[in-house]
Amino acid sequence: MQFGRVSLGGRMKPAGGFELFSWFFMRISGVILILMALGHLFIMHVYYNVDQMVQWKGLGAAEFVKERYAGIGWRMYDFILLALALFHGMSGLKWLVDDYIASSSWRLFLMSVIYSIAFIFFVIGSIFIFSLSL
Amino acid sequence: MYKGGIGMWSWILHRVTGVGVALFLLIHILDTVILGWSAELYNDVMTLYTNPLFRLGEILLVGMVLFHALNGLRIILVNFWTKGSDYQKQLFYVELVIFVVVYIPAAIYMLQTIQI
Repeated sequence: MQFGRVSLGGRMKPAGGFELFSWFFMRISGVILILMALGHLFIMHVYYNVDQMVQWKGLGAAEFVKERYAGIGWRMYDFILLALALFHGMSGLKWLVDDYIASSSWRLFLMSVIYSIAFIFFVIGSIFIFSLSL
Repeated sequence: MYKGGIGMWSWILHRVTGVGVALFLLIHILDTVILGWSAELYNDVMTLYTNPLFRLGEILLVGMVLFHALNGLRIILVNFWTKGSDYQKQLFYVELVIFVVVYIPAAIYMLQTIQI
């Protein structure tokens, strides 16, 4: 039954604890990210693009970001996107280490790296989003 | 775990696209926070991203996110919709059709915005 689930293309549902929380978090954050990440990609990478941004009003890409961050709205959007995408991605990498790395010392090392990256990138990303002066 | 067929391939593609997007996300967080230090350096890094090779990578990135999003939705349907596991193959075909219909025009449009 459990392997049956895996063969359908999804990870089997854990029995409980933090793993069950992760399993639900992946699905809930996933649904929100479908809207927010695809929305971000559409606006920043399709509707606008980096070639336009670097020429923004003759001032460069920094000006584009600062205009976008004039209100709190896009800062909040980016903060939620940062948190969900980062923790969704790091949970995914954690599962890969869990599934493919057998050596316990490598597991400990890689898990520590993933937790550290998740923490550090969340902190520096959040500080950037809320402290960028215009 | 690996029995072949749609389940296996969607599982592998989900993991490969997931790792690709996660690694880009980390790079993208770093390149963005540079603006907190220096607008000049940020502008230089963004100018680097206008290189056609990076723009092609960007098109690949959009494809990876779109596939991961649609396939993730399929996994959620299989998990939470009582009939989901009965229709998992059909769901995968629907997913592929949506992927092609959305991605091909988006990729063509993005290719046209690359400045060589």
